[in-house]
Amino acid sequence: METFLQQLVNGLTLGSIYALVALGYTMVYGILELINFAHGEVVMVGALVALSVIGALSHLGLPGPVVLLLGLTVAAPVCMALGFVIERVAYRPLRRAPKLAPLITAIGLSISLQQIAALIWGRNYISFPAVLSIDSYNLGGVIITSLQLTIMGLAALIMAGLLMLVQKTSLGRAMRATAQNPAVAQLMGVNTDQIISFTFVIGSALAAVAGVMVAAYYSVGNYTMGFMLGLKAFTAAVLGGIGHLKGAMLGGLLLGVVEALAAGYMGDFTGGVFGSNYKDVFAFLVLIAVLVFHPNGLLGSRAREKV
Amino acid sequence: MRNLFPKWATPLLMTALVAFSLSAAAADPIKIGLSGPFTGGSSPMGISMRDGVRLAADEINKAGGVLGRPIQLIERDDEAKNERGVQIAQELVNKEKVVADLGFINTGVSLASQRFYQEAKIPVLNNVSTGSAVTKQFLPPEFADNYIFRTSANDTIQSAMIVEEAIVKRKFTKVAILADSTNYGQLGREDLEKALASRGVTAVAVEKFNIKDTDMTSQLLKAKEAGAQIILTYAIGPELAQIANGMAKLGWKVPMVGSWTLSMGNFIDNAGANSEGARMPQTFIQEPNTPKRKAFIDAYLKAYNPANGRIPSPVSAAQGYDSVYLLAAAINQAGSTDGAKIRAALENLNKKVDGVVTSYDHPYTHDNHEAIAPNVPVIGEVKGGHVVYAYDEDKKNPVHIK
Repeated sequence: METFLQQLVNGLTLGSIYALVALGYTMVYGILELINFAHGEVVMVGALVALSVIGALSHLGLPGPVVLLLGLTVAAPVCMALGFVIERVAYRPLRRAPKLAPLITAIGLSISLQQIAALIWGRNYISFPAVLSIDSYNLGGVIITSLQLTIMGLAALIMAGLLMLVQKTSLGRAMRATAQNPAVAQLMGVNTDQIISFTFVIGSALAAVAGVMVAAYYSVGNYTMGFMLGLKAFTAAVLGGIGHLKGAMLGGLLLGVVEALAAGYMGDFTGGVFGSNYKDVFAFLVLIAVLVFHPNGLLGSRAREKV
Repeated sequence: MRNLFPKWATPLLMTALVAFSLSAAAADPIKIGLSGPFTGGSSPMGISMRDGVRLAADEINKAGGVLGRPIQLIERDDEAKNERGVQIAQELVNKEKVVADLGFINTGVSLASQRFYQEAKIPVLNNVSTGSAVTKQFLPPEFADNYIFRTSANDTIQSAMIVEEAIVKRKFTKVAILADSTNYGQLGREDLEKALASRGVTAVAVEKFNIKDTDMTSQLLKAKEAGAQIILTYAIGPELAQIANGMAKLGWKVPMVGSWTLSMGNFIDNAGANSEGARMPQTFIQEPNTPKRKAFIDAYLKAYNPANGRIPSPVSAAQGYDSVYLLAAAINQAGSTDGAKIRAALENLNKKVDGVVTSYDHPYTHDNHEAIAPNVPVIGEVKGGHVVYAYDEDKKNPVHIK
């Protein structure tokens, strides 16, 4: 039981990170019906920028959380600018092109960003300097660290803030209007180009936060780290119902838990035929199952309100 | 138009040209392939091996080369990918026409690429690959001669040492095995299970993970639940670091003993304080306890200036360095760059080769292509970010001869 609960805690931590990244996919899809496959690479850039800043500051003797926060304050604007540029350069010129064109651009962009990152940061692993002293708490046999609590708490706060932004502000109303019908929204005086840019920038800011979390949680970064993470987050977005904010959050948490439990118990259920290394396969099996039995995702409906 | 050169210039120029081409022919370099992963998770091993080879080749060239000819290294990055290894092997054999190949870090790449050299009768010295099968791919009677040699300690030797350390020396009875899903990890896991069985022990948990996986907590929880007192590993640096870090996340600390890759720089750096105390078999430890080793370490640090004065993978560097001297001795003895003659010379080296790892006295025979015997490696331990001798008697008694 303790092990099960421990797997659950670990899964929820990972799931919080997935959820933040999944939000980026789902917001862009909600507004443009475009899968921004380069989103995982934005996470990677956020993580590597933060690692560089933290590495440079680690010798100053500042307290760990301050260094981490400084890393994030540099990484977030860099990612937001990157998100803005990605939309302007790669997607806006293709907005009226057939749907396949931006999809291919997205994949090309993803690979290009990886190679650019490899040129800047090199191909080797960059380790997270030991700036954080991590406390762990024992709750009836389940160990939970201060870092895990921070990740889950921060992710929850950000998600709540995002829901507020979309549902309670005029900017959010404009986003929802653009998602429902861009042409009509434009007639009603919404600057849809600006709203679309804004959506990319917000999504990229979330990606930066997720990137810093991954780097701190796993203590390493690498130019390929965004690819699998992006794919998993995309799976999470589809699982919850792509284009649906709460769906992305639910999907992210669920996928994290499913993955942790699959890694923990797959070996027992299959008599050792499939080991814990098949957990990624399991995550994608979930994706296939959702697409077959409930194509709109868990929270998605046919006439859904997007974003 | 006036002639640009005086009349006597033409014959002079011709003579000079002839002399030049003659001298070029005399010093025609001996091409030796050098392949390994110089990028990615295995790169500390690949780069250290390459730099060790370069160092030895430079020394030999400064001393006049081999058979009066300089060594020319043809370096290729195989990215630890089997398919790149195959491409490189084809290129080095068919296009570059190398005399021998020094290389292979990854057991999978060795097994995929070696047959091209074997078919072309070009000797290969595996400087780092440790899979027990690596030197046994082309044995008689199917193949009259085996062209695959090794300078590293194979997994049969290493797994026996790991098990001896865990079960005999430290008296643990409940062990968990964590291995990656590559050829390296899985062949190593089999060797470990065999070595454990020979001591009457069955692992309480055997878990796998993939290269680039960052979350090992599920696997570690299984080991913890099964009551493991020690974790035996077969994987490479980045994933090993995630195991050490994962234990810290779970607030669970048991000793780690594993294959020699626990000495990789990217394990020690990425795991930081969590790497402390990990133990592994080593053929070489960066400790200047013989004049030969001191000279080698000084030369390496001077030439490549690695971070923190630590060779990224000392074992790979030392084995790479020694391999060039073994090969050079064989070419000198053969008096030729013919692959079959070099192989025959390697299998019967008349002269003792004094290396960094050990002193090689007839390291190979026709049927034994392993330069390292079970008595050569020692147990190393991570301490303060460096690999040091785990046992003082090994440090005081540094050179173990096969």
